Amino acid sequence: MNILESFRVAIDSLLANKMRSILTMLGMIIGVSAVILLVSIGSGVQADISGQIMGLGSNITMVMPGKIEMQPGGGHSGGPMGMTNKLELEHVEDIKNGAQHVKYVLPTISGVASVKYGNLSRTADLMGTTPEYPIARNSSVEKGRFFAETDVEGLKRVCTIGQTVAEDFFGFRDPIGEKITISGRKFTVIGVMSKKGAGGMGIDMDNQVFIPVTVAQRILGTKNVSLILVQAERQEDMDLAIKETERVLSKKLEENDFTILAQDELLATFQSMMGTLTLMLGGIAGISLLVGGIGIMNIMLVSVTERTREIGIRKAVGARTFDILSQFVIEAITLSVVGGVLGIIFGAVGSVVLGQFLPSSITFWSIVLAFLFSFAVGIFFGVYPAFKASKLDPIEALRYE
Amino acid sequence: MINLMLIETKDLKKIYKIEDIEVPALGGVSFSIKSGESVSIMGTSGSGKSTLMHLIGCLDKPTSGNVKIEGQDTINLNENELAVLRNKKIGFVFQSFNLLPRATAIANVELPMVYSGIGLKERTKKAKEMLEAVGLGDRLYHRPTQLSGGQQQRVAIARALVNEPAIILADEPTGNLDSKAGAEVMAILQKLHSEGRTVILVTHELYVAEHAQRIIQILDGKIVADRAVSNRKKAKEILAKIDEKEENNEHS
Repeated sequence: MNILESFRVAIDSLLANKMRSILTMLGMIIGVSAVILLVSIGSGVQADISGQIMGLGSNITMVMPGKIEMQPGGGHSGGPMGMTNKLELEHVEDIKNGAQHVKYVLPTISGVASVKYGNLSRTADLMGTTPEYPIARNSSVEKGRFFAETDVEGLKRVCTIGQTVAEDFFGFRDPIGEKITISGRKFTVIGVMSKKGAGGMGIDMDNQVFIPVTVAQRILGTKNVSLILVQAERQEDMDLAIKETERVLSKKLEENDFTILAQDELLATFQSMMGTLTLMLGGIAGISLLVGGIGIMNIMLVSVTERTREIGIRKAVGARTFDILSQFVIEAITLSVVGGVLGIIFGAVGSVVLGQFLPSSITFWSIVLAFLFSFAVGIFFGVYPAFKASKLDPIEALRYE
Repeated sequence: MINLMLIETKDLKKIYKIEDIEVPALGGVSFSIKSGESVSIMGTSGSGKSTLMHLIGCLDKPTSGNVKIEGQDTINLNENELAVLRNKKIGFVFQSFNLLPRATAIANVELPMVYSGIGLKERTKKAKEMLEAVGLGDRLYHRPTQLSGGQQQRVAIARALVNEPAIILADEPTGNLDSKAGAEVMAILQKLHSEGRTVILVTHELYVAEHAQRIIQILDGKIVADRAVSNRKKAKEILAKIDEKEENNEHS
């Protein structure tokens, strides 16, 4: 008997027990679609956040206060919490003067501030920085201007606002020259940033207010900066720029006072972390595949017992051991693969639907893996019942009632 | 040797082991059956006739002794080689028909050809011919449950014939049938014999056994008699009588 015959026989007997076949397949369907769905979400989130990190620019690094230990394999211990921030504006100047491969150095102070205009009020992300910010961060001013060096030096209460803030407060009116209140102090709006759109995780990148870093320090009552962004001329110069920055800062600061965070390092850490998480999600879903497989084995065992007489008849008219074995293995594989394919379809549709609410991307490897796994489950859990069937004694089998 | 024996058994012994207790079923049986013969193996239940049938039918292996089919030893054949032998040389007809319950008549008849590797088209054609030959040309796509006992047994006979085996081995073929359906089945088997086939009947009833030319009688695992049948029963005549009676009953 060839494989095609085995298929015909297998499909016939599966159709003869439709309800049972469908319920058995349900285990595989749920298992496979769960794997695809969870892996899609995992890799979707990973791609999304990676994109955000990359969005900083590949030639940018961050100097953070305190010591942060990056560990291979993901995660970090310690952190800036509870440490004294020793980064100051003078260090920014030092880097500017002392590191030749660094193009821009941006001190930033970020926080959340309540912003008011007339009787309108909202919460916005406050960013105290220097005039190079739009150029370095690839954003542009749509209307008016960004603040200048003179504004920083003169501690001028001026601000450039993001699109969301502008629309919320002024609608279609020109905001330039208007006065808004930021953390209880009056500021003059001198410009509006171009739209940046929503970042990942629903963060509105346009809900921002930019003010001179010196003014921000005054408002917050600090002489520190919360982060220094260092941008190299080109990506290739990044390593040199980092080394120079480190050398310059080490002159005035202790080793524990700052951490230079390279983006690729951050990305690698994050990706390996997310990779592990995705794998874990896939693994949990994989367990349901295993359960589905056991369901198939169970049904196949029942089926073999039920069809003992059929096996006896087949053997009496000339079925060899292999004929019976292949008939039942193919039956099990058909169950698991049809279940697997349906699971892939449901999983893919589910990922697309879920993609409306969550970052999710269907990964090719999860589909291939799920398919191969369901095939393997069919073989693995089908062989034992099929072997049992093929070893039946024809006389005993014919007598079976 | 020109007059080759179709079946030759030599000192055939079979001992079943049930929980360390040896139960002898056959205690040294030797006989030969020529090609084209019609033989009944007769014995009461427990006489060992079923065991003998299983051994001749290559469904089981003897504890000692040998069965030769067309001069070929079967003692050294493995499970798969025996399956091929059954497929090619032996056509089984069972008391309980043993048709696949979910398959149509034609699919049941096709079954032996599935395992001898005959293509779908030829299979269907041949199965159809066989069913027509046993008078079931209008029942090709009926399932066993939609057929009467006699019809089911005729499907089984068509299945037994489809690979043109050397031996038709019928185990109590009329055991589950009424006298008319039984006579019909016996008529088909006698017709097959008259066409030159070797038909072996296994039965406990002398009446059935006397449809053959020769009776081998088994008792307690041994041959107690091997004789020719003097006044052989003719199923066709019996059938005619039954029909006549039915007609009379209807008229009266």
